[in-house]
Amino acid sequence: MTGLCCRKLTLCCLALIATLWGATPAYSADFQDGWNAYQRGDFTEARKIWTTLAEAGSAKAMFNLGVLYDEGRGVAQDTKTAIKWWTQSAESGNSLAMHNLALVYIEGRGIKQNYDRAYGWLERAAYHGLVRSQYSLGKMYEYGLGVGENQIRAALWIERAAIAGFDRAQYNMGKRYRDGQGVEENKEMSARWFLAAARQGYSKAQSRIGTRLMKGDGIETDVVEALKWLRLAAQQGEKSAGEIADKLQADMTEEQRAQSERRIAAFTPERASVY
Amino acid sequence: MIRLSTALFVLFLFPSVASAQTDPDAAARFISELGEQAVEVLQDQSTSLEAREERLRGIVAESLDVTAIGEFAVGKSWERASEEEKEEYMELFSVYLLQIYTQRLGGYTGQTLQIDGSSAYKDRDAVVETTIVQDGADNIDVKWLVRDSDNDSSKGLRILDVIVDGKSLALAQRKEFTNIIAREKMSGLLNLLRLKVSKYSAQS
Repeated sequence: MTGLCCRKLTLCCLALIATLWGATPAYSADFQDGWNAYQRGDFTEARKIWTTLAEAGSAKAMFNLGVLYDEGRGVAQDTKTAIKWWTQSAESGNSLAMHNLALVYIEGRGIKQNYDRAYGWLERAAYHGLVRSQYSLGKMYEYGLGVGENQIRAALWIERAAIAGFDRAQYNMGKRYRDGQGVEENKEMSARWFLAAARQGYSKAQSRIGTRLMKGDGIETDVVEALKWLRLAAQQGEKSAGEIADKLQADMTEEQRAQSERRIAAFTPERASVY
Repeated sequence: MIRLSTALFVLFLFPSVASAQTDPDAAARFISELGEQAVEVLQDQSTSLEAREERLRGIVAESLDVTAIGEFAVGKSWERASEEEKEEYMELFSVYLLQIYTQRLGGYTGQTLQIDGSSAYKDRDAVVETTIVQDGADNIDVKWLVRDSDNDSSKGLRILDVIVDGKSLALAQRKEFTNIIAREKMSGLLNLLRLKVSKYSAQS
């Protein structure tokens, strides 16, 4: 009798496993078909596939559908429908949808502006580890959007995103440590954050760290590196960086300039994988 | 039959200083070439959609008069803004505008741009009438407001506005931005623009 029960139970478990095993790959394969269509630029097909999945409860599909409507890809731009899908997706736990929904509430586009709701969704997404949400939450505190302006809280959230590797947050922390905004003034920390963002290719940070290296401000003077960062910033449109680089270059040796040039040619942004 | 009602409204609002008339034929060729370039980039299946759109962003940047569109979007507040605000606004607006136009153009993959005609308007600009033809869906009327900026900035032909099915993107932008400025001043708009560009796109 006991043996029969065990056998039945084992069979039930096997059947359940087989069902789940069969269901999960099929589900993700469908999602992947939508993604492949999206990558091909066949947004109508992507929308068709993701609509079916979204109606079946896929939070990822709901999020992507929201994007298609918000960006007007393969369909007329429709913020209200985007909001509908992002809301369902966010309520199902999708942090990207929480973030986008929060931004729509901040903008007040297609929906009544509501900073409280924006804050709520951003906070949830930020605790899920989303760096853009951490940064945006910091900005809400910085500007006093729907919350009392609080530079310390702003710095706490922005630094969290900076530590995770978000270039804009790193640049912002460079400025905060420079100005003592929400943190204690610290030139070395400031230079360190500017350098971190510069290495990721952030042009404003490249310009700042180039000037710091030239003056030895919070970091040891190094004219070769200074010229490298200033030129890289200028290549991305930072006009003042180009002007400073021209002046700096005039006082450098031929060998130093050549060294800078070689480093510029070898430079590849070290992008963090947190975006 | 040229339908210009919305376009005309926009034309009145864009500042027009005495300068050479934009050649309608040249404007039509400019839009046609833009469409061909966009199609070529978007149909290149050897790279990811993100990479294709990055290339498209470069083409769009060369085709739009970002400064004129940006000034128009904030209306009279432009004159009242400080130099620092103007500089930051333009920087943020440029990222935002290119993002929007690239996404919209990217959204027309697989469709063709048909040039229906072009005409001069007043003493400065030209309007190019086009239809986006798509299989199995309604065609979309798109008008392009083009200005030859050669005389004052050596920029050449540049797009000032796109009117999709009678709706001007520049006007919609202006309405949205001036509402924000009325509510939260120029600094509020700058704050919002900083946040706007951080939305997430579709994920695999």
